Amino acid sequence: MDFDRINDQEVLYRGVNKNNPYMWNDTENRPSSAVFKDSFGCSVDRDGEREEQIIVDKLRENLHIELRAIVHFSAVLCIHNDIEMIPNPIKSNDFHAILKRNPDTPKLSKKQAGELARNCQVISL
Amino acid sequence: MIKTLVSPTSTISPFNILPNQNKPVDTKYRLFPLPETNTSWDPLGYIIQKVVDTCSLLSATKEVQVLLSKIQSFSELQHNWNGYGASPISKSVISRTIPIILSSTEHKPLIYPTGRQSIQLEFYHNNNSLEIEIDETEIGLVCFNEKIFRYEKENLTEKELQQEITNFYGL
Repeated sequence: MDFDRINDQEVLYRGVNKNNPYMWNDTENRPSSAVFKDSFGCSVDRDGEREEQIIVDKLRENLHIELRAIVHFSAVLCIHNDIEMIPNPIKSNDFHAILKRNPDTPKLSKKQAGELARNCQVISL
Repeated sequence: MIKTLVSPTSTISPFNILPNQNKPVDTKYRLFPLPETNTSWDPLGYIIQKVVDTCSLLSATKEVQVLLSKIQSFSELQHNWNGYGASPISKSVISRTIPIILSSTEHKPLIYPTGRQSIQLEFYHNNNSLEIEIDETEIGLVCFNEKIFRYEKENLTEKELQQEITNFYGL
């Protein structure tokens, strides 16, 4: 895994609350785009060539909340939507990365968050 | 212990209910429970309660009351409620969102908090979706047709937002 950049072959993962609050759109069986709206950029986990079950277990361990699902999408989706992908390893998670609207603006645009919500794949838990 | 203004034994003066406001509370709100002292006074809770009860008086649908209760529950979110370090939703954002919901009661949005201290309303109509984000200073929206992006708008006024919702349901 390249710690300097995220390549277009990678897959990015994000956990979604089960309850309190409920963040799922039941009609469309996908997360609300609100899931991808963080103040300092959207935190995700890179696959890092790990098996999916290992990624899921690690996310559950790190997030400390009950999860409705883990969603994932390819780096290509980010590239197509001009989302800046920044590797951001932290003490407890080498695979942590941040998604930003652009290099100068951490918050994803409403369009970018909407694209992620509508095009992600769902691992139901 | 909770008392109500309607109680004949109440010792609470109407002049003491709202700090910094030297006029009596309108008698139509006298049925609302009030705290024993002003130290536990929760202005937002009081306002939301008034809105909810006023809705009842106006025979508002139960769905609207459910939406208002849901929004009120956002004020109880704790730090890191999404596992990614999200901050609580401020009461001022909640207060700003309530009139928007009440002004479009014929359309029931889905409501979500976001991890950037805003509230999101989602309206669906004819395969189109309108996602409205309200924070302390801004109102913006994005519209999709199924998975296809249609338009995005920022810095709307409440009045402009109402027009956007009306236009959306004309799609």
